[in-house]
Amino acid sequence: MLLNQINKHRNSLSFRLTVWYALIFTLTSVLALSIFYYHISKVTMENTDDELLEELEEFYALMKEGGVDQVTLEIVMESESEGGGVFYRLITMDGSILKELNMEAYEGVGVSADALAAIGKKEQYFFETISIPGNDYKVRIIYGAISPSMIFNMGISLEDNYEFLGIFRNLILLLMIPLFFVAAFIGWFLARHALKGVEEVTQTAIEISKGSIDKRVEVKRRHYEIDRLANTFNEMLDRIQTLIKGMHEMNDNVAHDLRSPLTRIRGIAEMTLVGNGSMHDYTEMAANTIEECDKLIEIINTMMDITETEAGVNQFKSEPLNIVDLVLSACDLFDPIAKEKEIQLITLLPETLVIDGDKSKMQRLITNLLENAIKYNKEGGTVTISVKQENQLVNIQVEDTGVGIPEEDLPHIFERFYRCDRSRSLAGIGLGLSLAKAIVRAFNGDIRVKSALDRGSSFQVILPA
Amino acid sequence: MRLLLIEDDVKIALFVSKGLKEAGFAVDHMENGEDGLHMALNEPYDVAVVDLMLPKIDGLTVIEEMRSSGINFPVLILSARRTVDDRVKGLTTGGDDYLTKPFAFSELLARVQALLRRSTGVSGSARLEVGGLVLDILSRKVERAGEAIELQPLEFSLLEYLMRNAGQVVSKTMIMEHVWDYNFNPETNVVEARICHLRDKIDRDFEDKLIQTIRGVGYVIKSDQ
Repeated sequence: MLLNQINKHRNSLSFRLTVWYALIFTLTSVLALSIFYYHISKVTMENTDDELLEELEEFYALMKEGGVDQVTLEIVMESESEGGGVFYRLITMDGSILKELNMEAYEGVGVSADALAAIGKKEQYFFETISIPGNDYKVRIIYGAISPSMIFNMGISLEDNYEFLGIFRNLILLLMIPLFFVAAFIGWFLARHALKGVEEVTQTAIEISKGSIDKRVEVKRRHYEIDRLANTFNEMLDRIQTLIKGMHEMNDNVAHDLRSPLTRIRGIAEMTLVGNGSMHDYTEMAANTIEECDKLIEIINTMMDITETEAGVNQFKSEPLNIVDLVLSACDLFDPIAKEKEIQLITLLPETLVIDGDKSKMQRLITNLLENAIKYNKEGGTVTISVKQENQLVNIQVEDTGVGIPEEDLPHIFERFYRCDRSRSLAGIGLGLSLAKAIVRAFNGDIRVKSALDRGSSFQVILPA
Repeated sequence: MRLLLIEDDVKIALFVSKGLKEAGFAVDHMENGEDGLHMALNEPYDVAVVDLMLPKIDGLTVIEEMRSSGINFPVLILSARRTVDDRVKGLTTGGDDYLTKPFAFSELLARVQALLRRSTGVSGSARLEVGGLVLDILSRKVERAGEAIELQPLEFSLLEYLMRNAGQVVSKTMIMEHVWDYNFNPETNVVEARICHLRDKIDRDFEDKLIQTIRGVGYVIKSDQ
């Protein structure tokens, strides 16, 4: 169960953080306790040595005051009171043993040659630690001259020291296990706490992928990093939502704008087939079909153009363009249409104005604006096209005296397929201004509109020169 | 004139070859790239119309193979893709012109004929004549039945384009492209308005109406007498 859980989370960040935290915490504790243990064992050994030195000094003093007899008597008394744990010996300078007591447990402990040598060199005392075969504990031994001819030798079993350190060691080992778990728990808690924000973002993402795109991550001003993640995530969602909404709307519009001509084509074809069609009916049907198809192709092509222009798929051709020539040519193109509606085309142009760009795109931009200005104008109105260069900007303005655009429609007129109620009755596909805007954007420019209902509209294109 | 058509869509192939045969071409139709390439390498054609998306060997490869084998008759590429990149790729591979589906048949015919004119080196005549209407390109003068007609420069270009394609239908798109140098069609029917003016000057006083409208398709200049 637990192993399954661990396996499942083995790659999770919080699991890793927990394990690392527990390991580092435990290792640090082990290191600290080891240093502590080392010092404790050193201190106990020093205590034993102090004890032995005290004894040596005591016997040295006794030797001075009472001679060998007093020393011997004291040894016997002490050996009896200490029991078998401590042995006493008196040794001559050449190593022969004068007296030994309590040696039962220390058989085989000879006289150390090193000790004799050291004392021969006038050293005051000599310590050694030796193991005795058949005994678990080592012995700490002191040699020291108490007279010019006699060495006092005493050994004490380290059993008590070992026992004390052993308890201490066990205590440390016993502590390690709960310590590891405590560390793991703290680590887990900290990791969970730190990653809680991430988890919330994940939860929101899960809910969104199940379909609720309106969800947002709550920004709680907890930690800078997490808040930043949440904010970024939310901003990304806002953008995606806008895009999806736009795509939905566009899909609806495309479906509508494709469906209407298809319905007309299908309907007329059906009526012609079912009815007693004359040759004239069939010719009409064929002509109608071609016209409707051309409209459909135009919609598809224009949509592709908008998408490509916006995405910058077609790297723009860059060639010198004379804006003035393009405007004049567009006016020439629409001149007969304008005359039919008795609309006067007024141009306010400089001699010449050349910028770099794609000719076809610029033609399209100017044509679209001019076409709208004529289409939505009243009979006998005027269209004024002015081109100016101011500082580093080219300003193209197309003003009409037409029906104008209602204020509530103004923010939407550049959207694909958006058509005001007034323009629905007129032929068109509602993509002209979207394409115009996409082109202006591709030229790194901007397009603005001002309009007064029944007085006319004014479109202003600003391009970098 | 022998024409090789490589196109896998049978219905498209049917109307294209029907139209081309009516225009006087001997058409061989192949449905896949492999057969098409085989024919191109072994038969003396004057021009080919090649679709890009073909079974077995795709159109670009067919053209590449043809060109590397030294086959030099002009090729018109047909494609459903219309990005500039595709167009450039088609033309650099060895295609001579590029037409996007869906297309008007009149445009396909005009382009095929233009390719042939280019490859056979027959330059346009400096004097065009249709049913008593004479257009002199060098002096830029137009007269019908001996009477001079005053035309604006754009009207002159439009009439010249119609007369160069006399007897053949030209679409609005083709007129926009060749006369105005616009490769798109404004929503407003600007061509129609211009044609009306031209008709006024050329046909009003005559029984034989030369400029005819084929509804939905385009315009044609021809004499019915």
